[in-house]
Amino acid sequence: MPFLKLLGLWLMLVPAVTAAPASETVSLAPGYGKLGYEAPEAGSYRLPPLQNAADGEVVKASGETARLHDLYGDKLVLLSFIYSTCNDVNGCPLATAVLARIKSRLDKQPEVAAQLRLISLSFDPEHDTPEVMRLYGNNFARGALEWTFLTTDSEQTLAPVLEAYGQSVMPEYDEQGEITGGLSHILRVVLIDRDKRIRNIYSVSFLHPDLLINDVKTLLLEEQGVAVAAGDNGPDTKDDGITPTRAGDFKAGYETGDYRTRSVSVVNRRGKRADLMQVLKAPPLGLPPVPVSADNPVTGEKVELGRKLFFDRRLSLNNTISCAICHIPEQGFTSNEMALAVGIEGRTVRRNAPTVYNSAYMKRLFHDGREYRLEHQVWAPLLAKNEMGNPSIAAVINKIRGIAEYDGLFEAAFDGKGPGMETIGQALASYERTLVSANSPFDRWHFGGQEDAIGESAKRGFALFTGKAGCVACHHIGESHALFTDHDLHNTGLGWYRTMGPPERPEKVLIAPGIYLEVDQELVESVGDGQLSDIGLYEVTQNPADRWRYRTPGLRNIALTAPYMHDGSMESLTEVVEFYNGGGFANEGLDPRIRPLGLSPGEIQDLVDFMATLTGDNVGTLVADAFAAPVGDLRKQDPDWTHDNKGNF
Amino acid sequence: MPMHRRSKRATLAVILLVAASGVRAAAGDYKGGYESDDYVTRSVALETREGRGRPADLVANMRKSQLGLPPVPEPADNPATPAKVELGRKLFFDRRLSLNDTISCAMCHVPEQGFANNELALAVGLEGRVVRRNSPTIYNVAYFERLFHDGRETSLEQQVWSPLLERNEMANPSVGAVLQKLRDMPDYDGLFEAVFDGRGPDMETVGAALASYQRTLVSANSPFDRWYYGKQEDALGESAQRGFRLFTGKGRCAACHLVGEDYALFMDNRMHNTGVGWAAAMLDAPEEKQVLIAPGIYTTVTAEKIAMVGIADTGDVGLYEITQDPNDRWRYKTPGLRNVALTAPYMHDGSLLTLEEVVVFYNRGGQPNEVQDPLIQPLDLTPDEIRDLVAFLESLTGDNVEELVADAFAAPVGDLRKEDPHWSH
Repeated sequence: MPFLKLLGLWLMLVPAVTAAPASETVSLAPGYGKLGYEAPEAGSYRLPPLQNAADGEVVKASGETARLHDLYGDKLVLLSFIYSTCNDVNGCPLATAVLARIKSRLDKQPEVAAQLRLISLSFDPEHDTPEVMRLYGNNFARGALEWTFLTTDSEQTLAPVLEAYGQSVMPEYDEQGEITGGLSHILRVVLIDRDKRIRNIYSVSFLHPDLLINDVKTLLLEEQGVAVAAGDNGPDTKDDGITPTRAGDFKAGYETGDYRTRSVSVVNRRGKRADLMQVLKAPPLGLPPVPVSADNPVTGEKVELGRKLFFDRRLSLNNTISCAICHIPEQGFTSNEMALAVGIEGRTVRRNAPTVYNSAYMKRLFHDGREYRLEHQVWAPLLAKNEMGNPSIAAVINKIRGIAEYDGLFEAAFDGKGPGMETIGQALASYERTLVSANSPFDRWHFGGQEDAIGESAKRGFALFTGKAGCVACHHIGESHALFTDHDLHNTGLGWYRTMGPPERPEKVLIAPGIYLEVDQELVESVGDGQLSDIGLYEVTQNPADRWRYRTPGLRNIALTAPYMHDGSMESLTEVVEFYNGGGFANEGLDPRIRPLGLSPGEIQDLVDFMATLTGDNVGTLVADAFAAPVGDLRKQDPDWTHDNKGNF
Repeated sequence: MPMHRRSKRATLAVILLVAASGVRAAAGDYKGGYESDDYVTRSVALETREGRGRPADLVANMRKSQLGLPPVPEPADNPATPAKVELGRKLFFDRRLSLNDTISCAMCHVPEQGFANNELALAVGLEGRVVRRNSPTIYNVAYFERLFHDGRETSLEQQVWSPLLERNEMANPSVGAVLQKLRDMPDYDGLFEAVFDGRGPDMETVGAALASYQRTLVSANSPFDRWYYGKQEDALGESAQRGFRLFTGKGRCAACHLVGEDYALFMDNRMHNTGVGWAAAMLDAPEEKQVLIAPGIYTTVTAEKIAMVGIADTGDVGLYEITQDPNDRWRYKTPGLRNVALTAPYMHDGSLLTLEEVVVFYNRGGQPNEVQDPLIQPLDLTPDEIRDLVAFLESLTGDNVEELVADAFAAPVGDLRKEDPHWSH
């Protein structure tokens, strides 16, 4: 049995907290005491990554210069910021004392001690010379656990490190305003994992050996792939914390008080690049060749550039919203968490974010079908005031021109042409065109002739889909492939009902796990935009016959793209089938194909089971590839188009 | 008949005479005298333009040297050609380029109204939807480094997509909708392809054609130019000459409306807070308004009533909306002043009706506010000095205005025809 496996077993068996020696009952500081509660059992909770742990240049007690990351090595790290002359009882001495206790406890747990390293970095380089740090560290030299004491060569080298770790330090002044020599600071100890990501930050209230040791063990258990234990009401989570086909925080169970989030931060994503061009060479089973327009042939450079743009938050007015923030890879390239999309500064969008999967095949784009080409489509969300909020085409182009990372990328992909009205659309469209997904269980059964690819219920569902339920009338299935759409727009009554039916009156609003609030409708109206009118295709054609007609969506990967309908008003596929079973909402423009279906509950379930077989086999690959994409965030070196160019205004 | 009546009639007669003689530099119905009940409209139907149009060589107009202006900066990737300019002109006057086939570019940038709109303070888009700002003139737009009152655009080629797509302007639902329409209308068959080396209508070619037409609307060689740059002593009256000295001196106008050694664009391509925007946003609107609803007939309307039927004030913070920098609140672009006598009403919101009102506004130091530009100061101008400044501003009208307007009248007006496949139905 490999060592790490053994360690995992051992960690599970040993009681979470080793009994504290009697000497530890002595209080370390006024702000410190026994934990008022039992530390949660190691491995029973998750420590989501908070941010990447910054690197920096430091000086060892030996006087040698080193990089922080090199000193972290391949171990877990507890990093404290101290200065040797600190006399705040709730400050550095406390941090050092707690780390000393951890050190002495772990003497008895050498398996854990071998995985951990303590590091203390001085934030007073003027006084704390390497020699001072060496003498300071000598007090803690004994024992199995390594403890490294560091300083820096100057305030200048130190400042970026302190900033990156959020450690603020100010000179202390006395009542006369004279500098006392002391340094005002907030106690901070940081837990860093082997991937150099910060996993926990401890202030005085949480700086307790029990908690810290259990957190260290939790990270070690996580490395063993030991799933989060009792108390988790979520699905199985992989060790990277991402389920590639579902929102991290998909809110199931949110209505109970013991709900715990499954959200994980972006830095926790572990991506794996995929060969996105593959689908263009050979489409997966169930889909025709990807249509590519002659004036924008797909190339690797364009796809790579488009992917970079797709995940770049700087492409919005206030640098917060990328395409991927509404078309979230692990949420079916749509958003499972919102019925209606939300743009910059929380502005409401009228409709549900549609999936980008297989958008290459769509002849009409947007729910109202107002656009025809992905190349042009991108400008709508870029410029809409309630989406990415860019004030003009120039604002987008000039921003991209100003960001150094894009230097030469457009020119290389577009034969010398820089970012422009056409090239930005062409790059984004090229990436989107590669998000093709099929070869689903259904495809393997129906087109591939693999009898056992889907279950009996799904087979009955298919018979209903093409028969009694009449779904196939709009969600077409061809001889050799199926797009599950007719590229047309239909009035199912849902839009009509939203406009003409009784106003919605939410009585109870769930504001936190298990906590409902009665909200007065007037109050909601006083802060919101009110109901935004939506007449569907009519808005595009001005033809009254087109009122409330919306595009037939393709159904591939439909199990991943909840909530459903143009307004996201249905949370599950069952609700959708029940809606159609009832004949939609009758109205003067109702499409004659929508009529009561007389399906039994069993048949409804069969249809839902059928739709669940439409998930492509490469979803994990495409999501992992998306995770490998760089996320564009505003950086210091970016000339903020808006502020730095003041001379131009 | 009382004396003042007679004098008004006399003025009216002069105006009608001028209109009949073919001067096209004012709105057909520019509303002068509308406040008296004997006002008679001067509106004329579109058809009366027929026969009054005279095509001009627009590319030559752009490239020829005009006293007072530098050469037109033509982008390397979109040089003007006669065919491209003609296509752009056709697009500019095509009402089918709006969602419901009613609004062309020229309906807010009206040729005979200084390629702006003398009749509306705020532009009005499709189905009467209110636009927040005043239509700026297209004259000499080739020289602008920033477009729109808030300077949010930097290229004419890109700028056109904003009015085309704005819900309260031409209201096309998508880029694709505009391009589809252009592909479907038989009178555009082959036009783009001929101009753009085989390329049909697309985002770039539509922008390039419209930009090329607009770039030709260059207008200078005004009385001021002939006097100042041409050293023609009698080109400018005494009052206007005094006005120029005030403009560059005591009035300090030239601090933003730059006048160079060899030419004058009368702008600095920058944005300033004069206080007009601040006042509109921060000061209470009057409870009641006198509204002139017919010649000589006023009615009092309460703000409450107006709020009932209109669209609520949507707010306008100027450059801040682009930069998100609080210091940029209510900063708007310095307009060029060439042809300014033709482009009333004034300011980004069209709130000042005459040049005199504008000078009076600046004379009192604009509207002070926490982020007002320090260049705006009380000027202490006398009424005579104000008149002199206005006389100077009136001397900035280019000598080719009539030629450009006559050319515009010669342009085909694109209206929905039976042979157009209405793309939606």
